[in-house]
Amino acid sequence: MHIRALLCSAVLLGLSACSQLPAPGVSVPLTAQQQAAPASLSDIEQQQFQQAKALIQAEDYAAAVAVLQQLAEAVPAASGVGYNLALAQWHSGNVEAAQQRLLQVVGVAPDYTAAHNLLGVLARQQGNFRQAERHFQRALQADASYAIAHKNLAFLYELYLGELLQAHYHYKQYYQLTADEQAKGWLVLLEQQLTQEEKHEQTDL
Amino acid sequence: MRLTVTEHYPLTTLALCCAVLLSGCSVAPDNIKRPRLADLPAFDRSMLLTPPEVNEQQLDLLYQQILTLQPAPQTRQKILYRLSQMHTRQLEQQELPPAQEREALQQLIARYQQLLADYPADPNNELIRYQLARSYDLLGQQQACLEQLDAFLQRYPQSDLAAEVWFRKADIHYALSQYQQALQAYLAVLGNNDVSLELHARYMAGWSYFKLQEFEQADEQFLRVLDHSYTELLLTEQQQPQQSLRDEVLQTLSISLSYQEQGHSLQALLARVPYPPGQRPLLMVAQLYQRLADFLAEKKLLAASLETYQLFISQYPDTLLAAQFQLKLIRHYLDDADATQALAAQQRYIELFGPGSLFWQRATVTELTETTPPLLQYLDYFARNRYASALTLSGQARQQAFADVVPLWQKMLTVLDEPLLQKQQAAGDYSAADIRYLLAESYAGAALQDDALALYTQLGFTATEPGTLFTAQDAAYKALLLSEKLAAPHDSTAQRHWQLQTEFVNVHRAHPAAQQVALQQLQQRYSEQDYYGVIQHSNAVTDWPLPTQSQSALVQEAQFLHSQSELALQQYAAAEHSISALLSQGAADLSADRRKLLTEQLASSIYQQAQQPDAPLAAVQQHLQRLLSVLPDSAYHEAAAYQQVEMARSAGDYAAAISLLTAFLQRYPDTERTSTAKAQLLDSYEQAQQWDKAAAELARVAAESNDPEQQREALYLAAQYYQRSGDNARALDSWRSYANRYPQPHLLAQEARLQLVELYQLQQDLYRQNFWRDKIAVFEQRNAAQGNERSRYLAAQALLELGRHESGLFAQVKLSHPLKQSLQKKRQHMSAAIKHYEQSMQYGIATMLTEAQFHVGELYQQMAAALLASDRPKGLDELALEEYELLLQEQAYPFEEQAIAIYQQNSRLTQQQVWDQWVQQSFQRLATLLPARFDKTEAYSGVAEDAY
Repeated sequence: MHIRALLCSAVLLGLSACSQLPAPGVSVPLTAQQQAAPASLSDIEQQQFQQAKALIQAEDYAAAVAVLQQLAEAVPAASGVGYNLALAQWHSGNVEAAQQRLLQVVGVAPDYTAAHNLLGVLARQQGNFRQAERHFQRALQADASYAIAHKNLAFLYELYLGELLQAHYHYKQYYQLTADEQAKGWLVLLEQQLTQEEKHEQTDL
Repeated sequence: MRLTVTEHYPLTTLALCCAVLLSGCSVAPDNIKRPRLADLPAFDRSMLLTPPEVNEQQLDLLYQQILTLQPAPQTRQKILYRLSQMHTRQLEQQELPPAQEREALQQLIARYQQLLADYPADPNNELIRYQLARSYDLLGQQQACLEQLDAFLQRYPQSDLAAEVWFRKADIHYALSQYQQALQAYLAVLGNNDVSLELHARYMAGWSYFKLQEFEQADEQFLRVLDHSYTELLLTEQQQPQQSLRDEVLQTLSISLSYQEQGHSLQALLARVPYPPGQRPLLMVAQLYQRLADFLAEKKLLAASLETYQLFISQYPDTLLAAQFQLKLIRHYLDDADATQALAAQQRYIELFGPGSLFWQRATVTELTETTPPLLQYLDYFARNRYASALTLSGQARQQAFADVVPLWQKMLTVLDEPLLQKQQAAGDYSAADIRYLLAESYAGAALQDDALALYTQLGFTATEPGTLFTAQDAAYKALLLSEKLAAPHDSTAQRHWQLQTEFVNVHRAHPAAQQVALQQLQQRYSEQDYYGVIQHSNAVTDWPLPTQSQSALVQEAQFLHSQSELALQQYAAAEHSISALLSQGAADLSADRRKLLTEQLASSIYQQAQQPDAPLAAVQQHLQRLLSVLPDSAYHEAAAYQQVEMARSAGDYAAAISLLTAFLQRYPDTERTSTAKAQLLDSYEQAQQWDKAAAELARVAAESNDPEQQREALYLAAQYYQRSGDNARALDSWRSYANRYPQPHLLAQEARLQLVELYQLQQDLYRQNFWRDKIAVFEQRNAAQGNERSRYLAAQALLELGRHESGLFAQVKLSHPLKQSLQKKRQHMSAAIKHYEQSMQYGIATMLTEAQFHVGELYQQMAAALLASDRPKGLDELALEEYELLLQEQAYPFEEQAIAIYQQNSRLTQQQVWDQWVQQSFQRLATLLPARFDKTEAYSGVAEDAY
C-alpha cells in the first residue's frame, strides 16, 4: 500500500518534472532575450571562454565550471560555451547539470553533434540505453560522418543491447570514416560472435 | 272482618259485646224524641174557606145567638162546623192547665162526634175526623185516635191530609211497638210524596226496619235521610236545623252497621244506594266512615274501627281525607304503642300521599300543605333509620340497604324542592342540602356511582349554609374519589375526572387533600408523557397558595416529577438544577431508593450535558469534571471518565490520555470499556511514542489474554515497540518468542525473523544472524504458497547474505598445503555460497539477482585466482614447477571460463534494461577478462574551440 502510494507519488513527481524540464533529446528554445543577443563574444567574454578551455585542459573542472557558468548566463546562445560548461560539469561529477546544460545547447544548436554524442555517452553510463541510442542517432543525423557517434553506437549495440548486426554496421561506418585498425579487430570478433550465434540458432533449430 | 273479630276475640267477649249492643238498641228509640201529633206544625188556616172578620169571642157569641134563633138547618150546620173550628183554635191558643185542657178536649171530641153523627155527609167531616183523631191523640187515647185515623184513611184515602194521617198512624204504631204496622204506615207516608214529612217518615221507617232487625233496609233509609239532609244542607247552607237529626241518624246508622260487617257494610251500603244528585259528597262519606269508626272505637271494637278507616283509605286513596284517616290510624297505633303497625302505617302514608302517589299528583296546595309535615317526618325517620342501619351492614346487604334508602331521600327532596311548599314551616325544619348529601352517600353505598358522583359534584361546588352535615369541600372530595374510581382511561370519564380535579383544586384549596389532588394531576400529566405540562404546572403544587397547609412531601414529589420531566425532555441543565435542589432541600425526607435514583439522575443529567453535540469543549470538560468530582460513585462515572479520555485523545493530548486511561483502568479493571480502554492506552502510548510502556502493555496482554490471536498480535507489537524504544534486549526476546511460537501467519513470522537478524546484526552476532536468515529461507521455501513479493525479497536477501557469508569464509580459506584439504574446504564454502546465491536468484528479485550472479562469477574467478596463487609445493624443480603451474592453470581455467560466462550472463541483463552496480562490475570484470571484446569506452569530442 505504502509502496504503491509512493510509486504513485513518484510518477506524479516525474510527470511534473517532465513538464518543467526538457525531456532528454528535446530541444529547449531560447528566450527572446537570448535570441536577440549578438552571435559573438565580447573581448572579455572571449577571454573568459579561452580561460575556461585552458582550465578544462588543465583538468581544473571546478574553476572552469565557475567561469563558464557566468559566461553561459551572459551568452546563452553560445553553444560552444554551453558544451564546454557541460563537459566541465561532467568531469566534476555533476552529471545531471551536465545533461541539463547539453540539452540547452542542442536547444539553441540542434545540430551540435558533439553535444548529442556526449548526451548519448551520459545516457549509456546511466543505463538508459535506448536514450543513448537516440542521442547517437541524432548526432549522426546532424552529421553522418561523425565517426565518434558510429563507434559509440557500435559499442552500444554490441555490448548493451545485443543487436550485433547494428553494431557491425556502425563498426564498419566507423572504420570507413576513420580507418582505425582497432575497429578492424572489433569487426572480426563481432563477426565471429555472429557466426557462433548463427550456429547456435541452427543447433537450436 | 267478621272472621278477624272471631279469631282475635274469645267467644265470651263476643257474647258480652252482643249483649251490650242489644241493650243499647233497646234503649236507642226511647232516647230519641219521637215526634208527637202536637209536635206537628199548626193547622194551616189557609185550608179554611174564609178567614174570620171579627173577634172570635164576639163571633162565638154571635153564632150562639144565631143558633138560638133556630136558623135554617143548613145554616145551623155551617154555624156548628164553624163553631167547632173556632173552639178548636181557641183551645190551641189557650194556655190552659192540663185538667181544663183535657175537659176542653173532651168537649171538642163531643162536638166533633155530634157533628159527625148529625151531619154524616157534611164535606167538612174530613177535617172534623182529622181533628177528632187529633184530639184523641192529645188526650192520649191512642186506640181511639187510631180508629179515627183508620176511618179517615178509609173514607179519605186521597185526602191532602192523608200523608199526615199516615204519619200519625205510623207514630202510634211505632209507639205501641207495632213496628211492622208502623213501617207500613211510614212507607205510606213516603208514598204520598209529602216533602215535609218525607225526612221524618224515612227516618222512622229506618227505625222501624231497625226494630224489625232488617238492618240493611234500615241503613238505606238512614242513608237516604242523610243524603237528603246533606243536600238540603248544601242548598240552604244552614247546618244547625238538621244537625241533631244528622247526628242521630249517623249514630243510628253506625249502630246498625256495627251489627253487620261494619265498614264493609258501610262500603256496600254506599255502593248500593245512589246519591240522588249524582256523586255522594266525599266529606259526607268520610263522615259516615268517621262516625262508624268512632262508634266502633267507642265500643272497643278497635280492629273494626281501624278497618273502617282503612276501607275508606283504600277506596279514596287520593284524598286528603284518606290522608287524615291514615294519620288517625298512625296515631292510634302510636297510642297503642304498636310500633310495628305504626311504622307500617307511616310507610303506607308515604306511599299513598308522598311524591309519586296519585294524591301527590292531584293534591292542591292546601292539601299538600296539610300532608307535607307528617310526610317529611316519616320520610326523614325512615330514611335516617335505614341509612343508619345500612351503615352497620356490609357487602351486598349494605349495598341493598342503601339502595332502599335512596327513594326516601329522593322523595324528601321532591317535597322540599316543591316550589309550592317552599314557605312551609315544616319544609324549613329540614336541610335540603343535608338530604342531598345523605342521598349522595346512599347512592355511593348502593353502588349507584354515577348518581352519587353527580350529586356530590353538585353539593361540592354549591355554597352551603352553616350548620349542614357536611362541607362543600368534603362533598367535592367525595365526588373526586368517586370520579377517580369511575374514570376509565382515554374516555369521557377520564376527562370528567380531570375537570373535577381542576375544579377541586381551584375551589377547595383549603381541603387537606387539595394539594394531593393537584399532585395527582401532575402525576397524570407525567404518566401521559405531557412533560411540558408537568414543568408548566408543577408550581401548582410546589407554590401552594396556602403556605401553612402546604405538605412538604407533596411539594417534594412535584419537584421530583418536575425534574423527571426535564430529564424526559432532555433539559439536562434544568434537570441538574432541580435534582440538586431536591437532594439538598429534601435530603432528610427522601427515601433511600429515591435518593439513590436522584443521585444517579443527577449524574445522568450532568453526563448528558456533556453529550450535547453543540456543547463547547470547555463546557463539556467542565460537566465531566463536575460529575467526576461531585458524584464519584455514580454509574456515569465510568462513562464520564471514559469520555474524558476520548476528549484528551481527540485533542491529541496523549500524555493526558495515558494518565486518564491509567486511572480509568485502575478503577474499572473489568467493565465493557476495559478492553477498549486498554487498546486506547496502548494507542496513546504509541501516539505519545512511549514505546516502552506500549510494549509493556502489549507484553502484559500477550501474557494475560485468553485469546491466542490477541496474544500473538500483542507479542508482535510488543516486540516492535521494544525495538522502537531501544530496548533491544526485550525486543530480541519478544521477536524470538514470537518467531518460535507463531510460525503462522507466515509473512509476519518472516518479518519477525528479519528483525531478529537485524538485532543480532547490531550485536554483531553473525552466527545468530545467519541462523535466522537460514530460518527465513527455509520457511519461505516451506510456505511458498503463502509468500508474497516482500517475503520472497526477504528470503532472497537472507540467502544472498548467507551466500556472502559463505563467500567470506571461502575467501578466508587459503589454498595451502596440503592443497587437497584446503581446496576441499574452499570448495565446500564455494558450493555452499553458490547454493545460497542460486537459491536467492531463484526468487527473481532483480536487484539481488545481479548481485548474486556477480558473486557467483566472482567465486569462480576467485577460485581460479586462488588456484593460480596457491602455495607451490616445495622442493619442485623448475620443470616440475612448470608442470605444476600448467596443471594449476588447467584447473583454474574452467573456473575462469565459468566466471566469464556468468559475468556475461549478468551483462546481458542490459538488454532487459537492467543496469546496476553488479552489472556494471560484471562489465568491468569482463573488460579485464575479455578486454578485446569488453574493454570499450565511448568516445566524445573534447573542448569546443569556438564559442558558437
